[in-house]
Amino acid sequence: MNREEARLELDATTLRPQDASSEARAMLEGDAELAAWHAKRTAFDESVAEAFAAAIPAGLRESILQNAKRPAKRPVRWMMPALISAAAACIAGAWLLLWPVNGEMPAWQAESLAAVVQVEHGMMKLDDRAPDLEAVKKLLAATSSPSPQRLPGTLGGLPTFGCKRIRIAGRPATIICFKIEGGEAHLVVMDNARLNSAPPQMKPQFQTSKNWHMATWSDGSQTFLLATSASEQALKKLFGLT
Amino acid sequence: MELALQFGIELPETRPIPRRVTDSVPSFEQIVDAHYQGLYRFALSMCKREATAKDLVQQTFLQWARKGHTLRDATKVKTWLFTTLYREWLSIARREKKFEEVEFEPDLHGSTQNEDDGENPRVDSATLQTALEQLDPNYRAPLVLFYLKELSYRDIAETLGIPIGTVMSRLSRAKDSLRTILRRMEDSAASHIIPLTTS
Repeated sequence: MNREEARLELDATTLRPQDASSEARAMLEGDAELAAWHAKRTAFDESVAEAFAAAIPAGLRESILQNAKRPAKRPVRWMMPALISAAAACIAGAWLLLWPVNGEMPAWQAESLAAVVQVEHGMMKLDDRAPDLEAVKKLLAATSSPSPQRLPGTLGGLPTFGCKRIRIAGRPATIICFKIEGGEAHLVVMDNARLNSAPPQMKPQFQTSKNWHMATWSDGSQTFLLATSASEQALKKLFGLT
Repeated sequence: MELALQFGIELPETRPIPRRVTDSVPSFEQIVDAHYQGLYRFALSMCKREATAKDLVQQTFLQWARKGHTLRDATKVKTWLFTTLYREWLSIARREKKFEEVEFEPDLHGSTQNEDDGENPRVDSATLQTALEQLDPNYRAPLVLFYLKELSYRDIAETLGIPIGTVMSRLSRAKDSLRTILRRMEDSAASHIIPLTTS
């Protein structure tokens, strides 16, 4: 640091001497002429700083605080999560309104219907895709999964989308998805050994819950649930009842 | 409190602002209390109009209310506020075409020591404001920040967005100019005094 650099730094720190570097302060101590100039400059700066007193307008502080209490756009920070939560609540509410499973159903039926609803809405993907029941049966046989030995009415001849392997009431089960008039029908098949509240043999029980129509029956060692969100008439037609 | 003693004004009671990065930022009210007076004085010196100065301060704190939470370093609150106010003023001045960027003149850097003989001129609040108004804004801004004593010359450089060396040379030149203007005003006032005579 040369003398001129020290002078500039000392000039910039007359009112805040703590900001001056030790090098500049050392030069000040060893240079009488620089010290005299600095003392005079400091006196001038102190007198100016003292005179630098503009009156503060009355109420400025209060109006600053008042204005800041209503920063118009700031709620956006919490508004977005709130909107998302509200939308999620609406969706959940609508879902609950349409959720067909209820406490009056036997456990195996409630589980079966819940799985069917998830498959229909794409929340559960099919394991295999196949165009007809014979192809589906081959796929199921390959994995020893439950496969219908016999089906009522016209159901066996309908085109299929594929199948899904699941577990119902702690046992293996299969969902087979058929294409029917006005939508889809989903058949759940499982072994009924020690199954509580299994439906009667060979007598389909028809039920409706929310916008779902279903039929349940047993056939030998197998129990079935066939459910659709298409019309009740379309369901009954599958059993040759219309 | 140091500011209060210098300006003879009683400041609202404030709590100290945390100095470490890890400290939390003080409340909005604490920040207002600590800085609104200095900001107003800086604004008034730059724009010369009370109403505009008030607007600048209001705008600065509104910006703080909206964006202050993004500041990670609690020790930079003061610099942030002065920088924001200066930028607000710059945009106003540029709209009104009252401010032109002046390039730093390297040949003047470090060669500004005037003849400094004679007593320091006397100065009061009114003459100081008049004298400051005669200074170019590029020199007035660092000089006002310097006399406010709120910021170090390094912080002044950061606030104005100019190199530290430029701040030093502008301060030196601005003080010389201010001294010259004040002395001229003093001389002019003295020449208008009619000596009293006794008969």
